[in-house]
Amino acid sequence: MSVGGESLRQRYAPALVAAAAAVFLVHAFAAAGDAPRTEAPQQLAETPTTARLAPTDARRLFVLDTAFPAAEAARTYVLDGTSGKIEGMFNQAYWPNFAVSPDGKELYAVDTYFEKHTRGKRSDYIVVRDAQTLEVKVDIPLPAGRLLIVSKKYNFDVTPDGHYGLTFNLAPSTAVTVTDLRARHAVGEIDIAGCGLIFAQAPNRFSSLCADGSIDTVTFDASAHASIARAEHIFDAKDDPAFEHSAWDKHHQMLYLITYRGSVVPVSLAGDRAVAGTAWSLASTAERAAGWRPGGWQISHFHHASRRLYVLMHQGGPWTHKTSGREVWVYDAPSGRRLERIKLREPAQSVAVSQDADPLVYVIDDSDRIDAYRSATGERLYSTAPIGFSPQLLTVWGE
Amino acid sequence: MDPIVGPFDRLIESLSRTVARRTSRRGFLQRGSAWLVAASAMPLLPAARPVHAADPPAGGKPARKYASAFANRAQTTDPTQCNYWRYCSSDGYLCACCGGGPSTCPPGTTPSPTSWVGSCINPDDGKTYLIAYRDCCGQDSCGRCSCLGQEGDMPSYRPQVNNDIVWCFGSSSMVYHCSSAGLVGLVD
Amino acid sequence: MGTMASLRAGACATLGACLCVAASVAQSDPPPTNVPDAITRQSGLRLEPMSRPARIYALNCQGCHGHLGVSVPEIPALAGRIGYFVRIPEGRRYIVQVPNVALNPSSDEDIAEMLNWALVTYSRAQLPPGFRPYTAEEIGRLRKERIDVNARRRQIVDRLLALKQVPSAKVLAIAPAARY
Repeated sequence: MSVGGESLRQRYAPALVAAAAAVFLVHAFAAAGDAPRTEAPQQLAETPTTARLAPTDARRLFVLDTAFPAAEAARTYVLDGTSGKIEGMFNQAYWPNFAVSPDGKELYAVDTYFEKHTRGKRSDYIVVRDAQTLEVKVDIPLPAGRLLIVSKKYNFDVTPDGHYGLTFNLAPSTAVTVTDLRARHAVGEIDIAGCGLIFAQAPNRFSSLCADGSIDTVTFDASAHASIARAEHIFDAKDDPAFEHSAWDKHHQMLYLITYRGSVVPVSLAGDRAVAGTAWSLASTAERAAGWRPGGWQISHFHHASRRLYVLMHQGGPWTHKTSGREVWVYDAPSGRRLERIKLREPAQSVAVSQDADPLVYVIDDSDRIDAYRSATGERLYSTAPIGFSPQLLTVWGE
Repeated sequence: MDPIVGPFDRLIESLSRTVARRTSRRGFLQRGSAWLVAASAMPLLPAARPVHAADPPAGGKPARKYASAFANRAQTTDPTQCNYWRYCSSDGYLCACCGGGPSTCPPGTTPSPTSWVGSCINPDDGKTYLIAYRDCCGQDSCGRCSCLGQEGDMPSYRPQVNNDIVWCFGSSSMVYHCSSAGLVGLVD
Repeated sequence: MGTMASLRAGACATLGACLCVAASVAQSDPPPTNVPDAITRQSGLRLEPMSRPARIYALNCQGCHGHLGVSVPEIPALAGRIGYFVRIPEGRRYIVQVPNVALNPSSDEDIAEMLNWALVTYSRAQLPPGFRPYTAEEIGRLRKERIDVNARRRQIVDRLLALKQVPSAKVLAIAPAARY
């Protein structure tokens, strides 16, 4: 419409322009934060967060990958053992060791670093992590170093009360470093000449296997002063040695030594000196004749509550102690009676069993997968995709 | 100590033809060869009780029938294969595939002054030789030609006969690169 | 005739090759290796069998102590040193009782033979006059005793010094355990 020759737009244009300009300016100021206006600030569609593990439970599975083809790339994977899903992982360094604190709140990684990756100044630590965040809480130096060897589970053990971490060294004499995990520092070294491995049986005591088939039991104090009691003639170290990954029932202070030829020597570590019980055989005479014997890497594990022993078995001749097992044989350890034979989908080198009432048997198979079987039925629950470079050791809480 | 008896020999012979042993923890670059497990005697180390082949047929090589399953499948010509006779207890990567050889470390690495000493039967003359399993050290794992010899390997509480230890004490660094197998001497 | 000679004969099919063989025979080649092995065929290595005690030493000690009885500083040298120990009774006992000897699966006979050989091979000049070799019976008796290795060794070194049976403490010093 027009009024006196001008359109409404023409008459009000300047005002409109001014108003628009004012609005624009207000927007500009509001965007610059000068004036509170109605326009809300830009929101992210999703805010980045970091996952946090649920508190450690019996079904958490830790898989130590020594990364043999590129060993500086070692790491531990954290899996939900019920599903096989990876929940996290953390780097470890150079033929590492690993354990969970008895209360499940801390993870202990034993690592060796070189200042310049593969050379230069060497440093060894027990690295303490929070079990839910996987964040490093502290690096505890190991001043004397530690033995570098394709990772053996029992070159590191934690006393049942969680107070001390015990690491094995050979440089060149054999010794155990005692680390106060609560005070976060190493307290000293104990010579265990001629012996190796560590089974931490009490708050101030551990046992080691010796080159002549005896067992040394070491009682130590807070300054790592030690007295040693030796038990002779426990096993035949010359012709039928005990596997390094024999079965350790820490809860009952029983060490079930498993020998290359398939004997089990039950050893009580309840006192200040080891006491062996009567040996029994994993296989019947006919089965032995057919070549059934233990073999692999982590060849055995133990379920404390039911006192059951789990062993990887294969058919082979002499010098097949590292040959993967086709079956896991399960025993009532106190009686030596075999309860079941779990046939594996694929041969496996390492075995562990969850410490809950419906145990899962986990194996690392020759394709580097984790296969999980229900102990009660032998039924396979899942197989993961291949994990890492060379997964070798399995750890569950409460073992 | 139960001897392994006749039916087992047949069973294992058939198993050995069909079962390919894979050293999976190092084997993703090379599948391990099929290890025979045919054995009929006590697992004494070759050097503890030297094993002689049967009298050789006239004009030919000795019959290959040793107590050592490894020796029965071994050869003396190609050190890049896991069944090269010196590797009967070699656990790791072959230096021969990494720029070195059974007695030679690849450039950039150092032979360790320390090692463990094992023994292997030479399949061509049936004699037992001592072998120094000396690691070459100073670079991270070679990653090629992974082999797993087990003969005479004992647990690490007997370190003098263990092949899992990183035998780099005294070398340029404690980092393992590959395994060599040097001749130490002749037993018989 | 070894494999090598028969190979040469086989290669000698042509006159040229036979001339080549004749020429090489004239140069009197060193004898070929007596070890059937690709590497030794090139190096021409010839081996005589090791003595029994040398073999025992090689399988049980040589890896760390070295074929010449000396290795890295942190590993006690045998060469030029172990002979001092048998100059006094407690030292004579000690080298049997060190755990890597005492706990070794070798028989008493084997250890006696090996120790006697090692003493003469690596440390003859340090042996006392009229050194009496070890017997298997002595080894069997001695190796049953467990000792505190470090403390015992210190006592023995002190005694050897006091008796002037060793030139100086430095001769028997061991470098502290290393972290390589």
